Amino acid sequence: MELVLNAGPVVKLVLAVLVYFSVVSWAIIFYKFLVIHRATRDSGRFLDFFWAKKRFDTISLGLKDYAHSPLTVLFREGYQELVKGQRKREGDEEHAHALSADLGGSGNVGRALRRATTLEMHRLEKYLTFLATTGSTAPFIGLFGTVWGIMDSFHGIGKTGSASLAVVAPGISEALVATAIGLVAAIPAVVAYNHFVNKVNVLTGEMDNFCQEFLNIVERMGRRG
Amino acid sequence: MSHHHTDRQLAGYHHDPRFGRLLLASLGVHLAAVLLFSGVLFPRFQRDLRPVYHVDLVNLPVMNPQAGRPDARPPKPQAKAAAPEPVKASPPAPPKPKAKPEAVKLAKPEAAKPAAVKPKKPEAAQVKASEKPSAADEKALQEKLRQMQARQQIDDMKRRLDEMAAKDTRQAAISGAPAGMMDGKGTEAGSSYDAWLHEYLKQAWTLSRYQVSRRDLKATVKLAFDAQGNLLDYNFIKKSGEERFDDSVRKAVLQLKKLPNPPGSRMEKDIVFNLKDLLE
Repeated sequence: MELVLNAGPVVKLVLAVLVYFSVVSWAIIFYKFLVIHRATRDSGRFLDFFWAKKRFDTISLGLKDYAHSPLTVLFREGYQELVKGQRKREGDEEHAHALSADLGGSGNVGRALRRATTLEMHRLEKYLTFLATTGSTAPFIGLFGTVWGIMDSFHGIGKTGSASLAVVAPGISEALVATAIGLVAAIPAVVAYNHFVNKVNVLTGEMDNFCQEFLNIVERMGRRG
Repeated sequence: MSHHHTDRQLAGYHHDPRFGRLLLASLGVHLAAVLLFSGVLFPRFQRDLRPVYHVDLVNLPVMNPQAGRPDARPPKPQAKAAAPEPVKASPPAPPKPKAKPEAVKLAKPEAAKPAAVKPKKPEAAQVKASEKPSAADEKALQEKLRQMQARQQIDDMKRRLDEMAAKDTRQAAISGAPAGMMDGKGTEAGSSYDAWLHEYLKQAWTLSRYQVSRRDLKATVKLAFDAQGNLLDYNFIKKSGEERFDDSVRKAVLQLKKLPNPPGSRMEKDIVFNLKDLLE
């Protein structure tokens, strides 16, 4: 602690920046852990529910139990688009061409699903860039503080003209604290970033698969209808 | 475009209220870590780097404080200090108890007083008396002489003790070696045979690291001494397996003839020769 208090103003500023990075990145780590953990858990449960129930209207009534899953949002968006299309067809049946209506219907649903997928991906990836930034820049910021501190202590040596260990060591020791804190901030950020990106990729794959399945079902319904 | 799409789209970029709470939690965790590692909550054990001076209260003062040290150097001659030889050589006079002169004073105060304070009074008595005064005079004179001798002896002993104590500290200061031994017992320095043997054998043992193939060599030797401290016998309890190493150990042991102080009874010691100790 006294190492930090005795450091020069530049090193103190560097340490403050690093502490900010560390605090925010740990908050993000906690937050993303919660969000992604719930999303993964609810997605699995929702898929089981989705395949167990055969009817869209029944599924749409039980969505609130799986609120954290991105698949729930996808289903809701797709289903709403489907309902709108059906209402429209029922409204002007005389102009309706079955094939075009079907294609138009599934096309609309597909677009709605793609948009929802993009939004959910953004939601899941939110704040992850900050972790990446912390992981890549914190060591360099710390290194900057260290280099500056060592420059300072050498300057002091030049002034006093004595290069004894007692003169050199404290300055260098204070300066090295900056690198240490930089690494302390960066290492968890890098580990967490890689972990969360992997989880988000898995969820994105699940969303893509779900979209395909949903569109298949919609098209089969259209052909039957 | 309907409303709920826009709302949801914007909601994706709004800060989640949970995130603010987690930010505070993170801040708390960081503060706790700082308190933990800065030693505010738990003061860390710090090594005491102050120099430690070992004072041997058992072995000081002794006649020759470096008797038990194999590396004892002869004390430098000092101009003022009395030479230690006469002190050692002269047989210590039988110390007359201090009570004796006091007893004399108490027993014959009249005889002592006139002798010391008023020497003319007995002379006046001598003129009157024919033989008795002369006998009494002689007696008083002898008494005085005895008293003087006793005082002289007491002074001598005091001076000798002072000299010994002074010699002790001065020698230690000159040679830079501690007087006596750390784990010494008894009244004579060097009564710690283990420490003495360790020092002696370490100095007598010579072996170059290039003479042996390995560095983790060890040998254990049992030494037997008689009551006077002469080396009677030695034998290897455990050999190292390297001829050269065992030879060097044997050579070191054979340099040891006699302990500095007789142990008083037959004594056996096991000594472990470790190559790492030698190469330190």
